[in-house]
Amino acid sequence: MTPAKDIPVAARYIFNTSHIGRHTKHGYASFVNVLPAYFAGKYWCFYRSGDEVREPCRIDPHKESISLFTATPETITKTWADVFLSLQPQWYEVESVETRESSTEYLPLMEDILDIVCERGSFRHSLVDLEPSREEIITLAMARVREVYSKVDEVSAIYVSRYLDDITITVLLQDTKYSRILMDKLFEFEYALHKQNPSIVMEFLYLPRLYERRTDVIHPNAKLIYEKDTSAILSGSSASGTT
Amino acid sequence: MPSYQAHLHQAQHNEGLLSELMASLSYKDWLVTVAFYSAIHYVEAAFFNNPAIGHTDTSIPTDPNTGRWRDSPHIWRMELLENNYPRYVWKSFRSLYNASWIARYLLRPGGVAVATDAQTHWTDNEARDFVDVDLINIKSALGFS
Repeated sequence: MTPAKDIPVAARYIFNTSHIGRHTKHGYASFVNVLPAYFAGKYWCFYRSGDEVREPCRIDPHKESISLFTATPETITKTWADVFLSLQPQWYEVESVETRESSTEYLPLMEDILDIVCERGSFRHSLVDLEPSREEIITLAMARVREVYSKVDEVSAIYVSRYLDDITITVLLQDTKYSRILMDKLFEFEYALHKQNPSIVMEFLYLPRLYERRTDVIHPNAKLIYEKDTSAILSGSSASGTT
Repeated sequence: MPSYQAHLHQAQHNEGLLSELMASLSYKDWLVTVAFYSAIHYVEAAFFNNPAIGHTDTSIPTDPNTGRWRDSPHIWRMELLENNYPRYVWKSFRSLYNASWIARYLLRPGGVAVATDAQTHWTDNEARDFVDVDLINIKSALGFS
């Protein structure tokens, strides 16, 4: 950690992310769901060294998150303001950072923000070498799948089934008719998801929604993790319940 | 393990049938399926000449505890393409893989009304693109054109 004497006077606090989680007066500081492309399976949070060091805790991405991806650029800016202002107002200088629509493009955004705060010498970050469990990796990966595909208008539902180490993700499409443009987009997302989650085996299937009732296509015990009709982000319910 | 020549021969053999299917466009389900299996043999021929890979079936990692393959050959082949070749090659192969998978399920065993089949699911041009875009991309990138 940078010695306190090297920290600019304007920055009254040292922020150290070498811990994977901490309680703050604002609750858990979690960016796991906010920028999945950047965090890529790691657990990350801001930690203020002036505070009493507490036992690091894993962050539950279902319970602690900031939903940047469903927000407008204005809301995104506000959310960042909320986060950073709650820590140290002088730091906050991300208004000039251009926000983008695609989740994969948040990687450079996050790096820009980190660059800003690190240049001020008031912020330090590092990822602790604490590997999440396989189930945690899968949980986070499925959260990413939901995030990415739920933003595609033509995607109506997502089912997940598991057999041994394999995960089959069935993405149901609203339209029956084939569209190369749509498939190109979906394959791009899939490619990125594979790259973000190299340790798990995911097989993606893209089918018209009319296949939803076919148990020879979607396993009866597959979990419904997203449904467009209800705009529901689901923790998982059995596909058999829909047949 | 088939040799480079064996894979190349089978790829070209499949393409021979493909040219007939392309002429009539009466069997789009088989067109996309044969295109995919032609692509597989081109890919395996390229793998054969790649000392880091060799062959899909012989390079699949096994579970140290059970000795079983960690991935199915299809999944592992996709992973090899993803990690060893340009993204557009992976995408073209993925496109053919998905189309051939769809073709298998368009005609249902019964129970639910048929809403689409291969002939209507893909337009003539869309069907041609699986060959003229995807297969050509793969062949070109792997040095077979």
